[in-house]
Amino acid sequence: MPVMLRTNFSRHNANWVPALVAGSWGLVLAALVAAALLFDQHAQLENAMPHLRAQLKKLQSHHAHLEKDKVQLPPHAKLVALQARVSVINGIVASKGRPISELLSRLESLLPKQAWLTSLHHRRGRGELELVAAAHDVGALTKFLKRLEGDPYFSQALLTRQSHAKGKDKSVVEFDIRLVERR
Amino acid sequence: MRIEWLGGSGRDDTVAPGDCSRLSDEIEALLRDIAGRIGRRYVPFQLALPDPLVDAVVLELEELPGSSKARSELVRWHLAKHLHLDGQSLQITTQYLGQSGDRHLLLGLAVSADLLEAVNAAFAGAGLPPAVIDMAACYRHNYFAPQFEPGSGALVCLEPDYWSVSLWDQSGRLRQVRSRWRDGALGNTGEYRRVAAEVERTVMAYVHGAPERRIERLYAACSSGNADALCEALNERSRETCTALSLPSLPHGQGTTSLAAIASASCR
Repeated sequence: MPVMLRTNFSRHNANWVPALVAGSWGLVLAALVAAALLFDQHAQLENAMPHLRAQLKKLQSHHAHLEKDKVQLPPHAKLVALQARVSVINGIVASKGRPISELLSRLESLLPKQAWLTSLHHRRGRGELELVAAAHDVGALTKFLKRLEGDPYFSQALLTRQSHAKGKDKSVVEFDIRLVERR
Repeated sequence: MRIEWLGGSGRDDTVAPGDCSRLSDEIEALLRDIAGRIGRRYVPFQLALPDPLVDAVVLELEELPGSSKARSELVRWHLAKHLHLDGQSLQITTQYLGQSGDRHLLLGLAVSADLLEAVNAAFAGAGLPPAVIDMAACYRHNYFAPQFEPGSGALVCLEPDYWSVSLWDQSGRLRQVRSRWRDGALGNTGEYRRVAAEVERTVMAYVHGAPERRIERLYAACSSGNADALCEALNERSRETCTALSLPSLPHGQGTTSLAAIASASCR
């Protein structure tokens, strides 16, 4: 292909003019598109305005209602003192173990209907419980033992002895269980 | 290229070199006519200067000057030294054509500053700044380039008031342009034979200038005259077969000047 010749004697080299004109038209077109988009967004906002105003009014009303029913907290210093007391009590509970009433309540919720407790010995300082649970059916006691093993109150549930005793009309199965509290 | 209108200046006589004021009037009149036709549209005006008004040279340089100004000054110095032209009265334009072996090829065109001033005055008078003013041979080279076979070649062109031959090398780079005003005996066999003889001498001189130089193809184009008849005359003196190329023609009854015809047909 022959080499194209680009010599030029003219002082007014206007080869850039078409590009400038095209660029200007491009800018005008871009401005028109931007204006159309803005106009469209403005129209959308205008349409949404009544709904947004109603929503704002509703929220303001709700806010006022909440303000009215707001619970008045005690002063900050009092809250800090209360928090300190709770911490002390928690510390005592952690070191001394849970009270027997709480443990009994927990054991009651875990004990199947067919089983009952015949004895309970609580070593609070060591966090240990030794209890004897009885039932006519060994299955009820097994269920109880499994529940104890999975309970967050206790870190260990150990069956120390299983025995059979004769009741008034039916034989009774007894489980001696040793529990360790989770602290 | 799309031609919307093709016209002439309405004169059948030629514009002689040196008659700058008349040339300016001629161009301005033509431009005013065109300006009226195009209205307010943007049209990049391009003007083809007749080849005999322009001196063309391709310099083979070991080292290429870096700036455009330095290249122009080198061409000005070369023309003053080798063609004994008044360097200071010339306007120069250049184009780097690439490397041939270890030499850089620099195309330099020179035209009379007075002539260019007259042309610019005409455009200013018509209120239309010209985007490109170039030698007609360059426009023709670009216009016919897609029709050229690969390799070197020569294009002989007959205009109403002059003829010219341009040569290019195997890489398609313009290497030489030679032109002559016609003597008024338009389009007869005798003139074609004289042109063919001068073309042969020009080609021979170029080819013998260096061992690697050749001209493999011959083309002929006539905006005024018979390209086939010119080809026949060229075939009689050459081993290569000449190919006739066609230029857009002016409407019948219009006066013609080469300036207007080439300006209309040229493309860049």
